[in-house]
Amino acid sequence: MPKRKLHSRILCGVSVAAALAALSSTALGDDRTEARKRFKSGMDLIARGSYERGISELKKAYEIKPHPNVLFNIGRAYAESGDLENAILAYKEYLASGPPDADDVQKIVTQIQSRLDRQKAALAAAQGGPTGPAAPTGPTGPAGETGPTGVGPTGPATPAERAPDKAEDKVAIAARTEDVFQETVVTASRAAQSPVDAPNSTSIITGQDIRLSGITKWQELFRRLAGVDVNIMTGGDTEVSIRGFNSRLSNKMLVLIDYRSVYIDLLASTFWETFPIDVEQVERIEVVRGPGSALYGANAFAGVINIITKKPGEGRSGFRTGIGTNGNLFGSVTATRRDGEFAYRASAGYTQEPRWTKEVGRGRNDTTYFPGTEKSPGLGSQNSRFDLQVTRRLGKETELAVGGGYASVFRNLQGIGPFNEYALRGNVLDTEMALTSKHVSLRSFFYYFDVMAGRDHDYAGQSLYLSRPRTYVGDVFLEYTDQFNTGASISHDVHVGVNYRLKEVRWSYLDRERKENWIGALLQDTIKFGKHVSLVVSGRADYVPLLQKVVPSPRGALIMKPTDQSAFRVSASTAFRTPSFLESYLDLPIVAPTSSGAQLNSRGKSSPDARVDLRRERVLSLDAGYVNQDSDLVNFEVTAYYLQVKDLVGLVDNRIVTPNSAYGINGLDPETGRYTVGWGGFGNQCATYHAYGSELSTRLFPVEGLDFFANYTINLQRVDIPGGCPVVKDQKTSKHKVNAGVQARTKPGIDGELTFHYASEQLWSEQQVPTDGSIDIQNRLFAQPGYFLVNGRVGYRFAKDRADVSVVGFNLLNNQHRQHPLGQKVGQRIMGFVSYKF
Amino acid sequence: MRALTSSPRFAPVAALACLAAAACGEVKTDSENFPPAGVMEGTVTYIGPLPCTVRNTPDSVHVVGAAVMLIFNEKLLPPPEGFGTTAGQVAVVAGDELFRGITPDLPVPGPEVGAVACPPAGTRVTVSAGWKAGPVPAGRWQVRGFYDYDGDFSPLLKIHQLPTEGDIGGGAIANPDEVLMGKQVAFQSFAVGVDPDGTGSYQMPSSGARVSGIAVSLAQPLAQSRPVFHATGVLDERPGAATDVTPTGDVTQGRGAVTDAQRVTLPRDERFYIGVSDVKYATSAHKHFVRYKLSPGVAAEEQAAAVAPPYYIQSGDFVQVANTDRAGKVRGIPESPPGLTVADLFPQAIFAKLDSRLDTNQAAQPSPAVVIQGINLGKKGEFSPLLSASTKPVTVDELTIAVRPTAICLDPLDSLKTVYAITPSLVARNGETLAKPEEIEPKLAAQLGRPNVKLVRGCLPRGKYQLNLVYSTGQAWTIPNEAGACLTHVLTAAGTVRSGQEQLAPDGVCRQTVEAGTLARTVLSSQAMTLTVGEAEEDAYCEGIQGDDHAGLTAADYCHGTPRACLTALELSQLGCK
Repeated sequence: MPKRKLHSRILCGVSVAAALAALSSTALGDDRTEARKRFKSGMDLIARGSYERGISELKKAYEIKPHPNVLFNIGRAYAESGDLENAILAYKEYLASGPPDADDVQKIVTQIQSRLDRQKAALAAAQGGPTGPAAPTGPTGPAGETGPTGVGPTGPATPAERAPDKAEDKVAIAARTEDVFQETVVTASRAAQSPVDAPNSTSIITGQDIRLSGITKWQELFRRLAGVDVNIMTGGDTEVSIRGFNSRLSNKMLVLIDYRSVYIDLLASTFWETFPIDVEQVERIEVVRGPGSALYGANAFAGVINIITKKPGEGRSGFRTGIGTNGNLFGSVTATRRDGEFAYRASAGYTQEPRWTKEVGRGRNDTTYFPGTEKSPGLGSQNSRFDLQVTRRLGKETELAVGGGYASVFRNLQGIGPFNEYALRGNVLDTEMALTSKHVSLRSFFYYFDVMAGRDHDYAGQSLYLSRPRTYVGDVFLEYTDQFNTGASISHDVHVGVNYRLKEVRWSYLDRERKENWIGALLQDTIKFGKHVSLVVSGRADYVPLLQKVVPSPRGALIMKPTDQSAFRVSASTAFRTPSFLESYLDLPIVAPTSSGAQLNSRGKSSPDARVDLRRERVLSLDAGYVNQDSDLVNFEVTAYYLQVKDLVGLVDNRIVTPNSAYGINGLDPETGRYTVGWGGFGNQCATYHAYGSELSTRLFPVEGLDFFANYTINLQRVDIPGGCPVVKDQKTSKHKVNAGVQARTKPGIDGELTFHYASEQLWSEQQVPTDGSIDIQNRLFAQPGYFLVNGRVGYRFAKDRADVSVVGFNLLNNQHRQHPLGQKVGQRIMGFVSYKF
Repeated sequence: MRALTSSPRFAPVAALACLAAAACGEVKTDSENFPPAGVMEGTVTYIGPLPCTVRNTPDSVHVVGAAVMLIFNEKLLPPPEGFGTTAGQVAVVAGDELFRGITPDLPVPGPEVGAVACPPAGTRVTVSAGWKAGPVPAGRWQVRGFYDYDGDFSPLLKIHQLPTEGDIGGGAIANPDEVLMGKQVAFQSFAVGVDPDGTGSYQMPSSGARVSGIAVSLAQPLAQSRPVFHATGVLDERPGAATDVTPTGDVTQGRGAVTDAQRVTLPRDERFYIGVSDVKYATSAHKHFVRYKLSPGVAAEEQAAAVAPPYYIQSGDFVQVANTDRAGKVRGIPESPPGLTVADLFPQAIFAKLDSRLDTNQAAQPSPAVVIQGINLGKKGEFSPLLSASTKPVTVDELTIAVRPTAICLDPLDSLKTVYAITPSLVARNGETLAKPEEIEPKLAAQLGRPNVKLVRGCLPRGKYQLNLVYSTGQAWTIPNEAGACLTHVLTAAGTVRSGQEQLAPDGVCRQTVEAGTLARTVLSSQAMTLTVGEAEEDAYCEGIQGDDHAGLTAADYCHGTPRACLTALELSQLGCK
C-alpha cells in the first residue's frame, strides 16, 4: 500500500476516534446503563418518600429507554404521593402499551378515579359547592406540552397544590421493583434470566449495539464478541463459529430466530443471507458459548445464537435505507402496531452485497458460469424479503403468535472440497406458530428451501454441477414449565418438553430422496438453594434416524452468587452434531479437475441400503467462569473452557482406484459419460481434539457518553493422532483474538462506534484442486496470516430522534487480507444510511 | 487536525467527510485459484461397425464403449514419435451419446443383467457428436483418439489406456487422403494460447483460449492387439575381459553375470572391449550386449488371471515390421552398434528411467527424461541389416531386445535445450574408436527432432528403467505396470508420498477395501520386471571422467562421471553434487 494512502487512512481512523472522544464530554452514556441507573435512583428516592425527585428520575429513565413498567411505577408513585390525577394519566399511558395485566391495572385506575371523585366532592362540599360527580380530570398542562410520559412537562404538581395529603387519600400498590433495564437472556435456560444467572457464558448484542455499529450483515455483529470466530469467505458467505472449529459451511453452531432453528440440515450450515428479516427487526441477539444440545438437541455443538426479534406492536414503524461502495445496497421497512389484544409487525427489505474479489472475470473464453451471473459478476449476495408476525392475546397469560416469512435469495459462497466458488439462487419460506401460556407452550414451524445451486464457474468441458436442492422441515415443540418450592429456601424451575421434527430432502447430489423423523425430549430443573447458590440440571434425548439410536445430551451447572450481580459458574455438558444429509447420503460424481474424461465418485459411506456408518461428532465441554456486573462503571467476565472433540466429520482423501478398478467401480459411467477413477466423500476423523482456552471480556462506562468494550480470547489446541491416522494437524481458529471498541452518544444527536479487531494466524487443512496435472484432489495445509480490522460508524439523529443519517465503514484502513486461505481478499466497504421512525 | 478534534462540532463533520471520500474500488479479479486455460472442442465422427450394448440393470441398456480423445502436447508425444507417456487431457463421448441418433438400430441384449449384444459382422455406420476438453495448458497439441469398442479403456491405468484390437483408431488427422492411400497418419497441430516471439513458448492470454471446430475422425479399425509381453530369459555373453574376445571380435567366454530377467543390472560404466575390424564382428556383435528374450502375453501360469477382471489383458503374437520413411525406405538405428547399420524394427524397444522418488512407482521420470535404447533383434536374436528387414508385417512369437549402453537425456518440454547422448566410452577397451560424434549426432538430431544433440562420454544414470514396446500405431505395452505390484504407496502430484489402498498378502494377492467390501487381485509377477543401472565395475573410471571437450563439458558439468543434465535435482542432492 502506498505510504501516502496509508497515512490518509490512518488519519481517517484517528479523526473518527477523535471525533467520538471530543464529543464524549457532552455525551450520554450507554442507554441501557443510563436508564438502569436512573431507574434505580428513582425507585430508591420513591422508597425513601422523595416522590418528586424519584418520579423525575423515572421519567428520565423512560425518556432514555421507554419501558411500560416505568410508567407503571410513575403512576404508582403519583398515587402513593396522593397526586391521583397524574397517577391516572400515567396508568392510562401504561394501559395504552397493551400490557398483559391490563384488567388489573384498569381496576386500579377505576379505584383511583373513584377516590379522586370523592376527594373532589369532599373539596367541593368543604368549599360549599355542588356535591355532584366531579368534573373529568385532565392533564395538568396543554396536551401539546406533555412530556414523554404524558404527565406534564415539569413533573408532578406538589401535593400542597392538590387534595389534602391525608393517609386515606394515598393508594397503596405494589411497586414493580424488578430491574426492567437489566440485561435479560432466555437462550441458555429457555427462561428469562440475567446473564449472571445463566448456566453458560452468554453475551448479548443489544439493539443499541446494532444501531450504533450500523452493521447490517448478521455475521459481522458477532465479531466483537469473545470466543466467536468470524471468517469472511466471499461477499455472500461469512462463516461464524464459537470456540474454534470453524470451517467452510460452518456446522457446529445452532442459530435460532425466536427459538426457530434456521440450521440448514441439508448442508449442516446456517445461511444467514437467506433470512426473511434483517437487523432492523431485532430486539437483541443472545450468544451462548458452549454446547447447547441439552436444550436444543442435535447441532448445538459449540454454541447457540438466538435472534430475538421485536414483538409485534413494540417499537416504531419506520424505514432504513443505505447505499455503499461496490453496489452495496440495503433497504428495510417495518410497520408495527398494537390494537388492544391484537398486534402485528410487518417488514420487507432488500439487501445486496458485492463480492470482495472475483475468482474469474466474466467473458473468459475458457469458462462457463452459473446461469444469470454473467450480467452481475460482482454480486455476492442478494436478498429480497418479507415477513409478517401477528399476535393475539387470548387471556391473561395466554398468547397466540402466528407468522411467516419469505426471501428470494442469491448467494455466492465458498463450497466444500473442490467446490471453491459456489452459487445458489432461489426461495426460502417459513411459517411459525406459538401458543404460549403460563405453564404450557406449543411452538411449531415449517421451513421450505428451494434453490438452484451449482458452481460459480468452471472450465468449459468440466461441470458446474447444477442442481436443485429442495428441503422442508416441520417442527413441533411442546413444553411445560412450572416453578415450585420443595423447602423453605429451595425453589425449582422445571421445564419438560417433547419435540418432533420431520425433514425431507430432494437433491440430485444425494443418492435418492430422503425423509427423516426425529423425536426428542428434554428435562431441565433449575434448583435454587437460597439466594446464592443454584444448580441447573438439564438433559435431552434425541432419536437420530441417521444413526438409528437415541443420543443423550446431559448438562450440569453450578452457579454461586456472592452478590446479586456477580457469579461463579462451573458447568459440564456434552453435545453432538449429526452428519448432514450431504455428508450422509452424498452420491455425486466429481469430474477430475484436470481430466475431462475422468471422475471421482463422492459418496457417503453408504452400504447398499444407504444406511451410513458415519458417527455423530461429539464434544465434551467443561467450563468455569466468573461474571461481575456489580459496578455501574465496569462489568467483566472471565471464562476458561476445555473441549474434547471426537469423530469430526470431514472429507476423506480421495482414493484413486488401483487396478482393482475393473471390479465394477471403474469403467464408463453411462450417466455422465466419464470414467470413474477414484472415490471420495465424508468420513469420521480418527483424531481427538483437545481445545482449551479462555475468554476475558469487559465493558466500561467511565463517564457519561462513553462505553468501552474489550475482550481477549486465547484458544489452544492439542490433537491426539493415533498411528496410521491420516489427519493433518491444523488449527482453524486463531490462538489470539482481541476486540475493542468505543461507543458514544451525544446530546446534539451525533453518535457512533469505532471498533478494532485482531485475529492471529490460522492453519487450515483444505482439499484443493491441483493445478499440476494430477487427477486427484488432495488435502493441503495452508497458513493463513493474522489480520486486523478497524470498523466504524458516525451518525446524526435529528427530528426528535426520529431521523438518522450515518456513514458506516468496514475495514477503514483498507487492510487487504484474507480471512480464510481460500476466501476472497477482503478490502474496504463504506455505506451511507438514512432512517426514519414514524 | 488538532483544531478539528478540539471542536466537538467540526470533528464529526470531518470524520464524515473523511469516510465519504474513502476509496470506492471495483471488485477485482483474483485469479490465483482459477488461472486462464485453454479449451478444445469439436466434433467426433465415427465410421465403423455398430457398437455392442450391455444391460447394466434390468431396466437400462447402454452402449459399450466411448469415443476417447487423448490430447497430447506436441513436445510430449507418445512413442514412437516422442517420449511422452501421458495425455495432457482426455475427453470422452460416451457411446450412448455418440449413437443416440441410431438407437433403434442397436442390438438388444438379453434380459439378464450383464448380457451383451453385438451386431453382426459387416455393419457400418457413421455418427457424430460434439466433444469438449478443458482445461488445456498453453502449447501446441495433437488430438489422437479411438473408439473403445470393447469397453476396456481407463484413463487412470496404463494397462488400459491405449486402444486394443478391434478399437477404431483415428484423431484430428492432417492427411486423411494420404491415409486412405496407405500412408502413415499425420496429426493436426493446434495452438492453444499465443506464441508472442515465435519460439514455441506458448503463453495463455488472460481471457483464456478456446480452439473450436476440431474434427476428429475415428475410422481406422485396429487389427492388432497391443504388444503385451513378458521376459522369458536374458542372454548375457558379454566378454568379461579382453582375453574373452578374439582379435576378430568373437566372444569366447562371457561374463554371464546377468541371468535373471527380472533383475538385470548393468554397471553404469558398461563398455565394449573391442572395436570393429573384422567381418566376423557382424555375426557375433550381439554377444556384446545384454539381451532380453521376450514372449507375447504374460507368463503361462498367469494367463488365467490375466484375462480375468480386473486385467482383461488381450494379447497375440508380435507383429514385426521395419520402420520406413515416407518413401518406403527402411530406416536404420542412428546409434547402431559399432560398425553396423541396423534396421529399425517395430515394435521398437525403449528403456525409460523410472521416477526414483518411489520404489514402487511405475511412472517414467518426467524431467529430465532418460532413455536407453533397446534394439529389436527380431526372433533370430541377431542384428538385422537394413536390407534384410521386412517392410511387410510378419508375426513372430519371440523377440530379442538388446540393451545398448547409451542413455539419452533430454528436457521433454524444451526443444532448444541440448540433448545429451551419453556412453561410458567412445573408445573400446582395446583402444579402438567405437563411435564418432560428428557422424552420430546429426542422425540422432533428426530422429529426436531436436537441433542440439551431443554425444558425450559419461557413466549411465543409476536407477531403474521400464521397458516399452511400441508399434507404429502407437499401441504400446510397458513393464513394469500396475498388474505387477500392489499400489501400497502413491506419489502425489505435489511430490509427496502417501499410502495407497492396496496391501500385498503373502499369497501374492493385492487386497483393497472399498465401499462394497474387499477387492483382491493376483499380482502378475511377469509384469514387474525392471532394468537396473547399478554401480560401476570400476568406480575410478567414472570418477575419472572430468569433461568432454567435444561437447564443451567441464568437470563442473559432471557428477561422479555422469553429466548433471542427466540427473534430477533430488539425485544431485543425494549424490552430494549441489
